[in-house]
Amino acid sequence: MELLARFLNWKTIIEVLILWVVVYRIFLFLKGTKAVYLLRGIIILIIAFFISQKLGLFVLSWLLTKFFAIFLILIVIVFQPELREGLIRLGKKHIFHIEPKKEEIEKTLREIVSAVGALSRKKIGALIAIKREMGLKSYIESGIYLDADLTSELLQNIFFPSAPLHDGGVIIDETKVIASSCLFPLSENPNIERALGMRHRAGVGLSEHSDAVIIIISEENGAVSLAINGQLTRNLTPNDLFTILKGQLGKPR
Amino acid sequence: MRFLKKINIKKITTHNFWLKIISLIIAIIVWLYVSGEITKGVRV
Repeated sequence: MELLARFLNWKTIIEVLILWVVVYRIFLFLKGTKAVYLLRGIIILIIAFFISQKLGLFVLSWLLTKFFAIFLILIVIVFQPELREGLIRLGKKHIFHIEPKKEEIEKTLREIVSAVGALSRKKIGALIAIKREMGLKSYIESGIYLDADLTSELLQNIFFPSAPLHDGGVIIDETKVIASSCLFPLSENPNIERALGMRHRAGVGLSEHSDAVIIIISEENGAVSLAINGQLTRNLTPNDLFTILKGQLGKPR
Repeated sequence: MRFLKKINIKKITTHNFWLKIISLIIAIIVWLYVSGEITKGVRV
């Protein structure tokens, strides 16, 4: 009762609300990343620790305490890029980050589809990654940073065969072209057709390593493909592409 | 009022609903645990 009485004052409510926002933001950051498995591992360790303490298994409890300390150092080493990105993101964005409006997202998607249509008709190869929840910092750093407003003309210009930035992939975040000439990891999936080139492998590879949506245009026949979660959907029409992109990206994060 | 109309309360609450509930539960557990530890320290 004493605890409950203490719980019901304004200071406590503010403290809990701040904790809630922090925990929620951490979960949002981890959602869809490989760090989710790490979080599961930590939760299992914590549960095992409490059970061993309650049951008086002191040796196991001691081992878990020591292991947990090493585990924390391991987390910092293994997830150093993610932690760095998380801290940068925390500093850059407002806690209550305002997402772009639905109309802005639709306008961006129309610009992308328009560029894809034009590139496909001209049989110009292209690789476009659209960022979702998961960060793509290491891939952005492999290319040339742009941070430019997205337009159909800009995308067409980037992939123009003799343009200096046409090699590699473009990364789009919300309504901006963040970087071009980026290097994406190649997929090692043996089920990908041999006839498909490096561009398709790179597109599928990035979709295996992140939650990004990747559009690939073949320079051989202008066919448009889409890679999501390691799955490649081929020969899409601009209308199909718009519908899928709207379904995947049109909802608020 | 126009500002309030623009904010979709239903969308805010239902989007990632379970993630929000789990976060709230964890936040309360953390607060109770830390509060209990602090109280224990003060009593000693």
